[in-house]
Amino acid sequence: MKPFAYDRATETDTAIGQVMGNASAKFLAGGTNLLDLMQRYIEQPDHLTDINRLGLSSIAPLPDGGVRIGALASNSAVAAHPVIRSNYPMLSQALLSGATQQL
Amino acid sequence: MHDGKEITTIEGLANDDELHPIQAAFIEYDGFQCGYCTPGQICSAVAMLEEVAAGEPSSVTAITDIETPIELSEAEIRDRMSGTLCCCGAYDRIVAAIQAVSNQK
Repeated sequence: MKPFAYDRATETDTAIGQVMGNASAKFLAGGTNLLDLMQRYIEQPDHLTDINRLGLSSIAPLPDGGVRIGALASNSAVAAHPVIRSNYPMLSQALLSGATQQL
Repeated sequence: MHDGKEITTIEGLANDDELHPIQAAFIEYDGFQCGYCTPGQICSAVAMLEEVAAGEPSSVTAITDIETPIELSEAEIRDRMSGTLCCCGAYDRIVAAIQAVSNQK
C-alpha cells in the first residue's frame, strides 16, 4: 500500500472540500472495496478522508410513505431495520443475499 | 478508523484459564484440523450468536416476521458463518460446536 495522509472528518463541508480540492484524494467509508484495491496498488490515493463519523447513517421513514436512507447506512443495518423488513422485504432479502452480515 | 472503539480478538475471548464456551465447544466437537481458520471461525461464531440474539436477520430468516425470535437452525448457522472459509472442510463439526453452545442458552 502506498503511504497516504489520513483525516477523520467531523464536518461534511470540510470533507467535501478536501476530496474535491485534490484529484488524488478519496472518501473512506466502509473500505471493503477501496482498501483491498489500495493493497493491490490498483487505487493509489495520497489522501483519505474518513467520513464515518459524520452522522450520515440514519434510516428514517418519511411522512409520505417513503424511507430516507443515509449514505453511510450499512447494508446490514438497512436489511435489519424493522421498517425495511416490513414494508420493503425484497430490499432486505436482496441485501442479505449479497453477502453475510459480518462482511 | 476505529480509534476509541473496543475490539476483541481471539486472544481476548478466554477469561484467564477459563475458555469461552465457543472455544470449549470447538475442542469438544473437534471443530478444526490445521487451525488456520479457527480464530476467525470462533470470533465470527461469538459475534454471530450476539447478532441472532439481537434479532438481526440472515438471508434464510423470515424477513417480514419481526416478532418471532430467530431459531438458530443449521441453515441459519451455515448462512451466517458463510463468510469464513475452512479449506480443511471442518464445516460439519464447526456447525455442531456452534449448535451445542446455542442449545445451552
